[in-house]
Amino acid sequence: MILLARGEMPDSPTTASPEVKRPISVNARSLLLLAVLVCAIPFLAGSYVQFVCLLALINIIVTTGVNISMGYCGLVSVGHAGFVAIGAYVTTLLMTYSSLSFAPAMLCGIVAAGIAGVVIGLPALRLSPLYIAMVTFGFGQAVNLILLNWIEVTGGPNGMAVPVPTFFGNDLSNTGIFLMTAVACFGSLWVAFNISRSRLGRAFIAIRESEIAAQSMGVPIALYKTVAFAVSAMFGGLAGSLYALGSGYVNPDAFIFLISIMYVTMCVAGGLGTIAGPVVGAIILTILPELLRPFAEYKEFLSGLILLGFLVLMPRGLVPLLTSWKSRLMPKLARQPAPESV
Amino acid sequence: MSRDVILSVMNVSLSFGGNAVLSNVGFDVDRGQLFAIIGPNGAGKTSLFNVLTRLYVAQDGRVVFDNEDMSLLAPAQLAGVGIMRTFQNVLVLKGMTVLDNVMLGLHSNFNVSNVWSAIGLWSARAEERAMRERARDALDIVGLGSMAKEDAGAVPFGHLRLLELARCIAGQPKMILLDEPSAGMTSEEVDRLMKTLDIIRVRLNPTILLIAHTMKLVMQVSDRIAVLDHGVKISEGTPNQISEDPAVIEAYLGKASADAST
Amino acid sequence: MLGQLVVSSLALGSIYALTALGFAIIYRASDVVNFAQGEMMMLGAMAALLLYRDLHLSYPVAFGCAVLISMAVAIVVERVAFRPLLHAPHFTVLLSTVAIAQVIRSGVRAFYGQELSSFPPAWSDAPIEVYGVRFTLLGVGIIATTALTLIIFLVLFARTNMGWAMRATAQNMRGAAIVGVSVPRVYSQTWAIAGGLAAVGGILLAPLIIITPDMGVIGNKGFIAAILGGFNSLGGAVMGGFILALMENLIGVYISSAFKDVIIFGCLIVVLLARPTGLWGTQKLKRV
Repeated sequence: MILLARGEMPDSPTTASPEVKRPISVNARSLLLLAVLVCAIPFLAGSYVQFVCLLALINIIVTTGVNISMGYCGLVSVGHAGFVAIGAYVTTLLMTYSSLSFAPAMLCGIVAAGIAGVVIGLPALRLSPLYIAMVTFGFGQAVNLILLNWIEVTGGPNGMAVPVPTFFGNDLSNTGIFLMTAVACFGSLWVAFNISRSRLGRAFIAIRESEIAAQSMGVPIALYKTVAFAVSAMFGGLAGSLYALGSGYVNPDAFIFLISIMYVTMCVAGGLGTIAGPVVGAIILTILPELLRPFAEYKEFLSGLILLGFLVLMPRGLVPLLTSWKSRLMPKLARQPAPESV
Repeated sequence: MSRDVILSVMNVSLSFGGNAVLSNVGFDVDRGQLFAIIGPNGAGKTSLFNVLTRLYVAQDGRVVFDNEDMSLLAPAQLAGVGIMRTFQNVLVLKGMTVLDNVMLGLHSNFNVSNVWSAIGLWSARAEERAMRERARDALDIVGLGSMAKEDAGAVPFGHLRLLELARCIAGQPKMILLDEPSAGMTSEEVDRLMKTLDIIRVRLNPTILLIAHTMKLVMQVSDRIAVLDHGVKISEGTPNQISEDPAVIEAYLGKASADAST
Repeated sequence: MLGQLVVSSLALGSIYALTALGFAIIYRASDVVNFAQGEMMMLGAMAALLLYRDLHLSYPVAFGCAVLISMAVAIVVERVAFRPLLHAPHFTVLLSTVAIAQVIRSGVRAFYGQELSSFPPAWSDAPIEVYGVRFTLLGVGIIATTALTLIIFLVLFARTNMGWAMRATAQNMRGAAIVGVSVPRVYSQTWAIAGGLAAVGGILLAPLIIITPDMGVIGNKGFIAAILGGFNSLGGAVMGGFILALMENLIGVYISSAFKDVIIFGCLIVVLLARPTGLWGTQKLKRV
């Protein structure tokens, strides 16, 4: 097996590269049940659990966006915390210094993040994946630096408090914010799901696998790469503005490089290129640090080990692994059929 | 009798760093014709395809397709004007099903905006369903209909070229460029390919440009053949004319054989 | 003044160069960016600190042992986290090196503690002035040790069987295997050498900064230097290290110190737009 170079696949069909779409078929009824359960969390759980769930929902939005640009289109993004930060801070600034209520402020945050995505995407389009990683890394660092140093506007390392969002005069409660976040999360997943089953999703995968083939099918490569970047940036902006509202406080520490890496890790550990993968990855890796709290100074060490175990044992992610188990338990009925005689 | 010329290649020359890959190549292709381009290895056939599909830019010459000067087109615009191609190194996309690969060939046939399809608007979903039917039709034509749901990475090598072919014809293009579709095929597979090409010509009547080394295929299906050697067109004519042309025989087999046949 | 800046960037440039070279050789051999390179530097520095300061071994002995320890750790990392992932998607491999970095960093922090230490310099760091240019013996020691290391590396790489095997594998893995190169052994050797280079860089760096489990961030600089010089060019990576140090000095002094890093990034992007594979890197061509 060692004979194969990095990235070369052996000729057997069972180890083909990235995933077929829609690996887990969940029917509509169980999804609805899941949605209802999620919405019930504020009424069933205490405020700590509720906040962790809120973070999980927000992270799902981010990872779903990362999956669109990285998983489908193959554009590395290790500065996604920058887009989230833009969403969070733009929303906060508008709510604090202007008379905008939370909804238009959030919209501006999303648009601002999208614009940043286009600006970052454009020069990166001509570079190889390694260099796209550099550009996105630099972007994340630049945003963090600006947040830390532009003290008059952003409050510097001390951050800013976020005004309580009001809905027709009444303060939005934590429950309201949670439900809004849940709805946003479902909406994001719906959009990602649609994209994956549409010509946009196919074009993204084509760009990732073979730009020449994609071009010959009529896919405008530069435009679509920019779109992928912008869309995933907007998901990040949405998540950021929800984070600002949900936690009531923004500061640059929430948007450091390690956070960007965490988003990517969630995607990869869950399963890049699937819809369920980023969801599972986000949930597991949001909850894991909380579960490891009792271990105090060993927490980071253990989480690193667990993560390493995840990656080595499940190189494609958890969701594709579960899918392959499922298909092995229920073998296909037909083997490779020859083409019908013509 | 006036010709209905769909593709006009005029004096195309291409060189890479001093190496002349194509020199003054020119020919006309009629609408609906199957025009083969043959020649020994390294003759410049795939480079010619790359020029036609705008992956390479020729230093000299003009190409006119359907009365439009092709030098105005970018590579990604060809599908939109009705030109599709297959590749010598089969570029089937892993990570998608067979059906999705074919649906990629329909990319420029979609009308509903991407934004509406992202939201899940009903008209977008309806169009997706319609396109899926067209993709299935294309798969049935090449005989891969039963593999529609398979992961493209799991398709046996011999069928990959058929998959590429299906992807190529799904959008019912005006002209298709087939780059060595029969390479690596067994004799039965070549027969099946010929029958498939027949069906394609009957159903869709596209103009076909074919690069192939399998003489049985070329002689049987082509309406007209051009022969390239070292970037120069050394002959053009019907299959019969080509098979008797001493210049062609010499290019393939060497001068002694050419002398022997005359 | 300019001359002074050039001279004072040589020492740091040496360390960047070593780190960048470590990145480059792993990348050339196995197409992977090893994000744990910085942590391997830290490991080398920590090991040397313990051996030199606490166990009172002489500097050369502590140096050598720390390098060996680092190489051993690198070999273990290659076996545990890289070899099983040979056929994994690219992102998985990259993230596994990130995870390793976290494990090493937090492991050192958990088992050794977060205390800050300073490394007693092996050469004097008192300033000496010659013809108006100021430098220290420490700086000279760093440059000399780096030069020696690079020479040893060059000899190993260009003149020994091991180096030949490494070059062959980097060019064409299958071809190398067919002619009898043991590819697994080449991987172990490559990582060991990268680990050794990291350790040398870390130990040389140690007297210049405060030693903490987080000092691995210096790896980022080596990473940038390797990109600047060209990831698949070993000489380019080394040059990139010196160029980066010089740029840092020039920009920090003449333009702005706070936003130095952002400006360097901007410059890097400009360079990449003009030469996408770095200043000395080469393109991999694809045939259609």
